[in-house]
Parts: sequence; structure tokens; C-alpha cells
Amino acid sequence: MSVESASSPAARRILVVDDDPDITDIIDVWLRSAGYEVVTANSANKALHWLDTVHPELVITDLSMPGMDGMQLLEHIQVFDPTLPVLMVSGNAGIPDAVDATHRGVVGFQTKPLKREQLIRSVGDAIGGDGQVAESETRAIEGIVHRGSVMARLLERVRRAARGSSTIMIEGESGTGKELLARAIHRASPRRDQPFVAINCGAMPEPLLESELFGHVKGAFTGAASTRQGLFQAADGGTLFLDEVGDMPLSLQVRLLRVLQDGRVRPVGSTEEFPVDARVVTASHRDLEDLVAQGSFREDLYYRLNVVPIQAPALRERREDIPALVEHFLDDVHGRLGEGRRRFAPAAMDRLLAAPWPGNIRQLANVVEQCVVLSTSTVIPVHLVERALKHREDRVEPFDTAVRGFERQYLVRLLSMTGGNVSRAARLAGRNRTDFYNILRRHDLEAAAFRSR
Amino acid sequence: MTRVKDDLQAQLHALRERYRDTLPAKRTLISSLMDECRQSAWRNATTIDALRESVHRLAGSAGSYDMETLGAAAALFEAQIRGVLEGNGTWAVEQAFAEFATILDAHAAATPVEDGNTTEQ
Repeated sequence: MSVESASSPAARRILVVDDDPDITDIIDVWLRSAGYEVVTANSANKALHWLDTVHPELVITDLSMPGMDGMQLLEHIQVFDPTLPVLMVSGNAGIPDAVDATHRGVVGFQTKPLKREQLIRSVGDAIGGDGQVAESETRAIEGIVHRGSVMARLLERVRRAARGSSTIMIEGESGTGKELLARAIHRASPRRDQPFVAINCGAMPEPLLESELFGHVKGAFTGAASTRQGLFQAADGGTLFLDEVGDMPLSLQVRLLRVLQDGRVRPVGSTEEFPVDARVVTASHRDLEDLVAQGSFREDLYYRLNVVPIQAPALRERREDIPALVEHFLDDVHGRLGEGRRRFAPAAMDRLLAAPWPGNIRQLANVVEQCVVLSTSTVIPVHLVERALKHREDRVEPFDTAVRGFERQYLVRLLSMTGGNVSRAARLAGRNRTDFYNILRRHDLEAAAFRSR
Repeated sequence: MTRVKDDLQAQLHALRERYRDTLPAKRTLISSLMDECRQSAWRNATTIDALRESVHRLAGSAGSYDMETLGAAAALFEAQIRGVLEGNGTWAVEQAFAEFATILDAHAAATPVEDGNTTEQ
């Protein structure tokens, strides 16, 4: 197994899975020559471990392998990330195998012997373009501060999802940056030059929301002094972001479903319908499956909106990003308030890293700002962080879960910091290399995945 | 662009030569599994399957290394091994092995030519 970077930092990464090294070796050379970055795994199990750390844009897997075969790997991948495309290859598969694989969701099926041009064409068809990530896609996610693997994986998914026109549902706790992700999806999509229109469905009464979304004609209701275009039409050709869609009243859910099904919108009070082509991205901090079960959210609309689900991680699940986020917010406060540049004392940063963050990134931004404003010196002391945090620390998870979660985040952070250098990471952790390797194995982490990234 | 193409050709050439270097070991393994199959009168399914798996790999990889005739011979040999597992006689598998072995030996002995390709037997 190997992880190496190609010459371009923006090369698209492909995970190649085959138990025959003769096959992985030649595919590796072919794809690198076409500008892709390649990671190889000699078993489906190893490939599954790699998924979490290498964030491939495509998986190419052999069908027949000892142990877990290609179809079983496909099933696991579809659970792990339903948007990750899989290209299947096989030495002796017949048409029924190819048909079966296609029905199960593979994007392509090739029989051995593989040929370079044909494989590169299939890869291009599967993920679009050539080996380089489109500049617009890279720019789109540049504004999202991150350093760790959790967000890298998510943003990879955002880039892939952005290319199509499917509806996207972003779920996550309040303050996790769902609108930021929606905007990134729009910027990375082919619709980037068209409007991005956002509305919070929970922030306005039903009649107003209806009029905002679908528009109205003059005289449609008291106060409708003139005809007004709705947001669906305003977002035509672009993206309509419906925040807190779980708060939308049932009667409007019916109208929304109709627009999604027909691609046409009828303003309030009008008998005329207008064609609309707006990609709908939704977000909710509420569990929509629960709302469906309770009968307060339509099941058919849920499935229509949830074609590509994206889970925005809580800040406690991406602690390795906290130092970079803190720097970002310090810059922001410095720019806005003109306060002298501050930094956090090491103990204060440790406290920020260990906090539970129930309010997520929004809370972190507030804490940073509060600390900057209240600090009388350039180095922010730990007690200011304590004071800013004290009102929110009321969530406690089970001890074992917390320890395991902390261990993994700690290891990911350590390996990110040391670029996958195990000796250095072990030394920083105060463990010997053998112990450290054992700990990494317990968490299914491989140091090589953090090198040359 | 030319340099990139030359680099690719050089890498592919090196890979092909490395693959060619592995052919004698592959031949030894397959011959040894054939002997075991013969000794057990083709009744040991585990050994037959190990033989089939080794030949299957070669059938899958040889064509990608520009050794199409070897890949085709391996594919035919593999099909005959499957036939034995399905109850066919062993005459056809012996024939297929003989043909496969001859082609493999020729490829293993092939001499690289100057343009980076190798002589296809």
C-alpha cells in the first residue's frame, strides 16, 4: 500500500483496490501519467481503512478478491459515502455481473486486461474533467477553514456533490456552518455565475414565507400592492438555499414538493405557472427523519430533498481544526474591531481545544471575540477563556466514548502536526514507537496517510 | 510534453521488464500446482482452486503489460481449469497448460528492443 503525492497539489485522488500488485502498479503509473494522484490498497479491508484518511474522488476496485470482494466493498462504500463513485474491474465477469454491478450503483465496469486509454477515459467519465481539480472547485472551498481529516473528507464530498444538480440536504447542529457549506456548494457548481438565494424557513410566518418562496400577483392578499417574483424565480439557473426547512409548515411543504416535481412555480393568486430551474439545497438542525415519523414533515418531500445528504460535523468532532479557526477569528476580530493583535496563551489554547463546544463554531467565534475584547494584554490568559465558556458546559458524554473520541482526535492532530512522522509523533506523545503503532492500530489509523498531504 | 511522454514510456518499460522478471517464478508456482493436481488425480479442489487463482491473476495482468498472447493463453487455461472443477476431463487442461507454458517461457526469454517495447512472441 502506498500514499504518495503527485506533482500537482490539486490532483484528484483515486483509490485503487486489487489484490494483485501487478495490476495496482500499472494502474498507478497510468493514472499518474494522466495527472491523478493514486493510493493503492491490496485488499477491500485496507481500502475501507483508507477511505477515512485519503478522501478519494473515485474508487477503482477489482470484483474478485480474497475475503471481502468488490461488491461487498461497494456496499460498505455506499454506507460510508453514497456519493463516492466506484468503478469495478474484473478478470472474468460476464454481462450479468456487469449489469448487476451497474444496478448496485457502480459508475463503470471494465474487464481485464485493462488498457490505459480506456481506463483513463472511464475515470474521466466517472468524475468529470481531467486529473486536476477545477480551479473554481478549489476556490469554492478555500474560504472554509480546516486542517483535519473530518472536514477534508466533507469538503471532498461537497466538491463532488456540487458538480451535479441533485438536491442536497445539509444536516448538523446549530452553529456548524451549514450556510457556509451551501454557499461553497453553489460556488463549486456549474451554477456559480447564477444567483445564490438563501431564506430561513423558520424565521417568518406561513403567508409571508409562501409569498417569499413562490411570489404573488397584485391583489393576491391584503397588502399585495404589486406583483412580486418569488425566490424560486429569483434563483432561476442558480441555487436556492432553504435553511431550517424542518420548520416549514405542512401546507407549504406540499407546494414545495410540487415545484420540485414539476419544475414550475405558480405565484400566490396567479393562475399562471412559470418554469424554474433552481437547485435546491436545504439545511436543518432538527432530525428530519424524526419529524417524518412524527408526521410533521412529509416523507415524499424528505426523500425528494435528501438525494445527497451532507452531515456538517460538530466542532467537538473536528477539534484538530480549532487552532486554525481561532487564528481565523483572531484575524477577523483584529480587522473589524481594530484591537491590537492578540494570541492565546498555551494553557488558554489547551482549554479551547478541550471545551465541549455545544454552540459549535459560532460559539467559538463569540468566545474568541469576547476574550480579545476583555484581554488587557496581547496574550489572552486561560481565565478569560474559562469565563467565556462557563455558561455552556452542561453536556457530558459517557466516559468511555469521550476517552476514545479524544484519543482518536489527539492522534489525528499529532499525525497532522508531524506530517505522519511516527517517531516524532511518538516522542511528542511520550510513548515508544511500538506502543504508538499499537495505539494507531486500535484506531485504524495509518501514519502514511498523513504524509505528503 | 515530450519529456513527460518519454518519462511515461520509461516507467512503463521498467514496469514491463519487472513484470517479465516475475514470469519464471509465476511459471514455477503454476507448474508446481499442476503437479500437485496431477498427483491428486485432480480431486483436491483446494489445490485446483489455488491453480485457477494463480492463472487467473496472470490472465488479468499480462494483457495490461502488452503481453496479449500470454494473457489469452492464460485465460484459456483458466477456463479449462474451471471445466475440471465442473466435472470435465483433464485432457483439455493439459493441452491448455502446455500451450500456456510455451508462450510464458517465450515471454520470459524475450529480449527488449531499443524503442522501449519488447518482442511479443
